[in-house]
Amino acid sequence: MTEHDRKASGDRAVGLDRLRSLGARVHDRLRPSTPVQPPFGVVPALRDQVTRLSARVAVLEEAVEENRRLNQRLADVVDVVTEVLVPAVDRDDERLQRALGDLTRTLDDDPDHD
Amino acid sequence: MAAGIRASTGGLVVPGSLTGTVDVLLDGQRVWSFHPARDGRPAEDGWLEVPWPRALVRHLRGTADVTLVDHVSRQVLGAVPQARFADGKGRVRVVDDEGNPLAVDKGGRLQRDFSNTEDSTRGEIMDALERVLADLRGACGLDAYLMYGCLLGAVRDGRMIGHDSDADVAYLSRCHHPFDIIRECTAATRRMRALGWQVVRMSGANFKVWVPLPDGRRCGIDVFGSFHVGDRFMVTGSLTGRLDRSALVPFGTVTLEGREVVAPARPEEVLEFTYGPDWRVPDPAFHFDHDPVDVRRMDAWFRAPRRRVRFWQDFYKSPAASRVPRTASPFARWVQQWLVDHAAERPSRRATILDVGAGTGRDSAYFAARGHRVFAYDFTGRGMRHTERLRRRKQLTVATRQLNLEDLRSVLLTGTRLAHQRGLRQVYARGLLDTLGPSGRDNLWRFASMVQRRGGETFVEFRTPLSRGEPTFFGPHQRTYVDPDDAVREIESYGGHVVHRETGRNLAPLGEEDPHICRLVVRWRP
Repeated sequence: MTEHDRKASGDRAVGLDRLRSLGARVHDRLRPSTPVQPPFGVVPALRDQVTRLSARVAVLEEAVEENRRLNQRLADVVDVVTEVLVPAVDRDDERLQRALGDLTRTLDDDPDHD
Repeated sequence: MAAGIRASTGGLVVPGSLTGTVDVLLDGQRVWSFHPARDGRPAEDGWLEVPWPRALVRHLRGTADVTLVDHVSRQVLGAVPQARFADGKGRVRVVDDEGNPLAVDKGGRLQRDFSNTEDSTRGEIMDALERVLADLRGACGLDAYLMYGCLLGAVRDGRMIGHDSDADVAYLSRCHHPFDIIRECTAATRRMRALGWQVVRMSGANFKVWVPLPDGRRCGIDVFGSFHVGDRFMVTGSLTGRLDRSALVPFGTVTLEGREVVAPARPEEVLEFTYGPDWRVPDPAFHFDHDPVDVRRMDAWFRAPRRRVRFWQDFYKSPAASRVPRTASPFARWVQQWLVDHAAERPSRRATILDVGAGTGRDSAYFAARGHRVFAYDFTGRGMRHTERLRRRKQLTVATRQLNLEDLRSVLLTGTRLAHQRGLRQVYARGLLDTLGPSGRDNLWRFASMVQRRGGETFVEFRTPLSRGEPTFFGPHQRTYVDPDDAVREIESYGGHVVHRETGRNLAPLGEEDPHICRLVVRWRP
């Protein structure tokens, strides 16, 4: 090994050491301390946030359910209006009664069904 | 064969090592099937206690030879000769009124199944099935196809499944939004009725066609809406998942009971989607294990109007219903006194009373006995059967009418017809608010305000939130405890004003229960 080679090798070693040292420092900076100790006040704040979010989700779920139920209600109203509006405007009471009767029959669920 | 199996009114005790689907035979008749691991709960020494399904319990009176059989291999797994059940003499009989054998179906209800069906009757069912499919495809313009149990039976062995009790078809909707799907289904229901079928709407997206059979019973043909919403394929009840449209269309055919019937393009794929990878293994104890999120979505879209129907039907069929007193409630007597005191305000002493949520009709009978004209409204007529004999004996006339307060159409139509009729009427609703959700309560106020535009009073009695958590005479029910202030606010928003309000205990005691009660008397502005 020549002087030049030794020098070159020593430079590499120093460079590697520096790199290792830098890596260790970065690793230490990034590694979470064990056990995790969030700053004072963070845990109660997170807990409050989870509680608030849970409550919001519950409210949203309820609103979604209500919106879903609106499909049936709206469809029923449209159906009733569609069937009775024309005879009502025509003041045709007989047809109106018949339309109501037909609608009721269409509705009838089977009370005895098991 | 396992030794030591026990059977009592409480249930069966079986070895924890038992697997697969187990048929339960009473005196040789299959009455139920179960999965030990799913349906049992751990008992001592690794054994499992398997409770009887509720529908079966009321038939378990007397003695029976109990046999447990593996459903697939037919191997006898155990037997309890001469098992004795509660306070009955003679043999246990699980039969309908005509003596036909019954078995618990996958919905937990006792049904006659196809295993006891004559070949000629199967032919009748197939005739009806073909005609229903033809009308759905022709007159209704729906892409109807064989589905669920019928498709399973056809693909598995070309026959109806023995443990099935209904025939199932579906239609592939052209709509992709629940609003349009409901309207399409309503139109089909109306068209089928116009064609002469007896049709029952089961939800906003499925209905049942009842077909009378020559042997006296009737067969239900269930028609299920199926549709794509977004990237999901859904079939009512609550089946939801990913299934490519190409598995369904273009439709092909399968053979069922020797006849070619319309079916999905790739039926095996549809069956795996429906029943999972083990669909080829016969399993009468099969239960759908739908994601609760999917069930909730379908409930809200299509089944809100039937929310509590089944609960009350089951309640009035259960032994608990016989504990409902036959005599008038204190509230009915109180209202009668009110009517007497205010008789001068009405054209006649005889009032017309709409008993809304009449239940067994105990108060309806009381009002009829006081000379009033009484109409009993409920969404099931089952409860009224409990006072039928009483009314007949006392020659009391009570007209029964169907009204579903969770169903806006029912409320609008019934309310409109009554509003059109002349005369005053009183609305009486005891305990009704306790059983309704917010939308049902809304509909009650709407109904009352419609039918009392010419006058009359609405009498309501309900438990207040002060009673929440207290033990009740009938045990746990789904109950709403309405705050009287909320009720009054709602009533006022519908144009009513409260002319009498009282709250307290000792107003509606029943057994050990003495709930905190609110009574309201309401008048509606014309």
